[in-house]
Amino acid sequence: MVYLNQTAYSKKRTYHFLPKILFGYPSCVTTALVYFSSTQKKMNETWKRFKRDKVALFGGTVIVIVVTAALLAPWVTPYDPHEQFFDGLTLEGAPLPPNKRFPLGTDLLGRDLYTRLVYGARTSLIIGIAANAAAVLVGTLLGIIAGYLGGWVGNAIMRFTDLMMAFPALLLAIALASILTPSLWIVAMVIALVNWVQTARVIYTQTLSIAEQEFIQAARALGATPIRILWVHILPHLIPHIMVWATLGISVTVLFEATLSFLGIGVQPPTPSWGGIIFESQSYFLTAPWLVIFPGISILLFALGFNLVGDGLRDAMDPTQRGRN
Amino acid sequence: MNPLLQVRNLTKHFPSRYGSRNLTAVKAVSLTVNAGETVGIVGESGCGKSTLGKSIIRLFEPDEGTVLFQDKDVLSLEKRALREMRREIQMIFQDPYGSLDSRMTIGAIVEEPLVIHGIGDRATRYKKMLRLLEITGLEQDAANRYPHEFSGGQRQRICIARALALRPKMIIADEPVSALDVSIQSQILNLLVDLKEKFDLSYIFISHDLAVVEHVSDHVAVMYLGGIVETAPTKDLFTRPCHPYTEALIKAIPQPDPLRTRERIVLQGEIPDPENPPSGCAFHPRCPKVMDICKTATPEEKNIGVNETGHLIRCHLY
Amino acid sequence: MQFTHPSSSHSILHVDSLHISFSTNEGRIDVVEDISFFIGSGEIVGLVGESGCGKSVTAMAIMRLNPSPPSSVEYGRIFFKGNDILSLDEGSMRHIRGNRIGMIFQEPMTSLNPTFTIGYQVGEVFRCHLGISQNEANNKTVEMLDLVGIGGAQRRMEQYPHELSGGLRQRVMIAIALACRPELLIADEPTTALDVTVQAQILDLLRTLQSEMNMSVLLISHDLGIVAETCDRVFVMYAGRIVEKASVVELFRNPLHPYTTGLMSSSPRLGQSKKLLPMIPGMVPSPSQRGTGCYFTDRCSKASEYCRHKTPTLEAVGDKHQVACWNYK
Repeated sequence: MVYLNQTAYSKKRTYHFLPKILFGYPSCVTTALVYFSSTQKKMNETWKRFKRDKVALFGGTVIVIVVTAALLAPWVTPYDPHEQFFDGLTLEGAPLPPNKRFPLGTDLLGRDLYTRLVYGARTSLIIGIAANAAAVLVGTLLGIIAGYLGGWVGNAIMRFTDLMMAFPALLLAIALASILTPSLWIVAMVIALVNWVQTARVIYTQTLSIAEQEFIQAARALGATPIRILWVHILPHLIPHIMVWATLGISVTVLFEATLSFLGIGVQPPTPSWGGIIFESQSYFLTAPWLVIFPGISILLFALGFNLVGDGLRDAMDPTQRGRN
Repeated sequence: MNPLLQVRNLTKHFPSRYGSRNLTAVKAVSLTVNAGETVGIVGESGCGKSTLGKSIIRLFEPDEGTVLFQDKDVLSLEKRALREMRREIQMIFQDPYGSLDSRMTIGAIVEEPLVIHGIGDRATRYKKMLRLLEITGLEQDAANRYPHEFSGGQRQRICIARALALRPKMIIADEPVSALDVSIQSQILNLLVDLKEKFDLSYIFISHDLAVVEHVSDHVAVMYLGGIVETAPTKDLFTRPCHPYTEALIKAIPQPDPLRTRERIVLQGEIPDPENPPSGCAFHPRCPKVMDICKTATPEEKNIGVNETGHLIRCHLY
Repeated sequence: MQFTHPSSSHSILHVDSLHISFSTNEGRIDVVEDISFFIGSGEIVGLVGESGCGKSVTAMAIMRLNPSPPSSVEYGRIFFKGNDILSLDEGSMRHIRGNRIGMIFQEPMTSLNPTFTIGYQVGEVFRCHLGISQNEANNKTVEMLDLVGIGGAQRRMEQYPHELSGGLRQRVMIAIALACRPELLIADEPTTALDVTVQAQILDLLRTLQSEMNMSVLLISHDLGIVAETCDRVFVMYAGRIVEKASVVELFRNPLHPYTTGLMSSSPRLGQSKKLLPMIPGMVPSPSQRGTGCYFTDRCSKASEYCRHKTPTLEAVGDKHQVACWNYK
């Protein structure tokens, strides 16, 4: 009843700090320093707890393997990713199943699938991590601003978010990609532009519900500045949600890139990408299943790895989970 | 000597959920707190007592009225000055679970007010924090633990330690013991009484529990539907309740005495919707002594006490 | 049986050495330990204790509503009118629940389904247990709402829970619980969420209905005042055990267990102007850290080493009083 409206009030009052963040506010710097020095201790604790989480460690291992392979691609692969082998195809021109010479078989043009997958990991990593990081960053920022400031700024941001949600993402991506010449970074940017929406929504609702809690009022009663409240009291509660979207989003982005590649507006051939390989060869699924299965497994493991690590991090960062496991 | 805190005609509206009408949560409330005094505010849920407490320190921005704290006009303070003022008036909340940040250690929580106001360096803050834990009866090793590891009573102690960190002159305690078990309530109440003397504090003690309010307060104000209906020194109020609502409230408390003959005035109905308050005296639909005038005219404040600070009441019976 | 209430010819409910445990990550934890009591017909019995003492778990065990796992009844029996409830199959139990044993909960806000009308929810009990038609159920619902003092029953039936105040919602809960005229009503903190003036109304209502229907009531509360005004007999629970049983007059005149006396003196009372309240130091131990012997030892001013090692059993003191304490004399 009466207290329902307290957020309306806090929105009204805490409006003016945005310019101060943007143009450098001395106490903002000190708060940041305090924040990071206190997080040092927390990070050690988090790492200690994370180490005990076997499932998350497995996820971490998968990621490390993929990243290492992608970085060291020329050294861990036997061939060149673009080399078309004459003996990579049958006499009828069909791709070869896994054999001694080509451990995972060959693709439709007689290229070594294993080599292409390892090089494809580079594309997926760049797209998955860069595009997703950008999306999550933009989403989080807009979500927090909308949730904490509220008022017409918040409304405007959220209406825009709704608009983006309602708008077919693929259509937008096609439009963007046809204006700009497709390249790896452009594709990453296009994906980021489409994918920030979900994060923004989640962070917005979370910020709203945290801002309504009594400890936020308690902090205000102590004389805390809006920036401090945002930084010290709201942000740490959002990190688990950011974490989840940052990791879940990676799998979504990898698949989105695959879709774009299929439509011919993704990473351009012959640059290998996991999604690209699947879509190139999807009509041969029955005759050459390895062409779909191996990249599929790669995407799956890669996304799973990030999900497991994300879950593990979320738990490890939550003080109420301390002493469990 | 001027009183520590003077509230005059404080009014707080909230926009109604459906927009058409304002909801008046606090209606022209006046209140005086002298240094070293505890003023109790009692009332049932939704009577505006918490809103009143929060409006005084501007957690809600009041719409009308004045608040003078040590002769400074609180409502006209600039942001920076308001933050300074908040050093002097602290607040303890009802819910010791919700009012502590679950991701901060107890040490960080209790030190936070010192950090915010830039008091001392890291080492002195740490020392102060340990001292505060000791004062409020917590173990030193609490500093490195998190709120969820503590029981309700201990958490309320943490809240008290945090409120004391800035050595305030006044603490507004909003239902500080309602969420606690009976045997823990008395511990917290005793701690509050004890600290009041040690640190020369004044309290505004907000509660729905008359027995608790009687126990801690020097003065009591009874609220009904946003307005104060009766104010009097504690003893006076409980021995000679004058407003029919106060009387009914006191009579409604179950007494731990099975042989007591019950002379309960069971009030009919419940508190009306504050978005749509009754005309005249807000209490008239439930009042056992209702007269015709009550339905039309809002009663003025009258002093029926023997001296100046006496016994203030808003009722047509007097 | 140690003593009987004047009006109880026979017992409605008999709980015999009930022992309930919960399995958790840290292993099995005993929550309710070996409690026995009975409720005579037409009697109001109070079960007093602080949070975590096992009073709600006991109530839920009588209804067999404790989720299992994690909870399980280690041993003990619960007789309702001579039948062992714990050995009944789920079908027969459903017939008892809501029909012969009614229950009201603390939170009238969440115990009603927000998506159905009041009329539907009260009527549901009739349809479930009496198997009567919608029309008849409606008539009975109106009757029931009148009985619990809800004016304008016809109009109220069309309303949804959120349109009612807390007091009215609790009245609806009472109507649901009493719809089938149960022989036993379990009221778990029925007025804790309500304001004092409304609490008085609800307690009055409960008392009137109890004597009209001559049903037995198990009233669970942490408030000694409510218990003193409402109950005939009282059990005091601490850390999963009953530490004192007495008729209400006897208990308040002559509390014997240090926990009971502590509770009574530590809650502020009207007209009692002491500067500091007497208090019970420390806090209720969590079920996994209750220790050995008498669980109150650490907070007791009279405790000796003996108390820590030897568990006291309920001993009769006079014919209306039992206490589990080594030092009651």
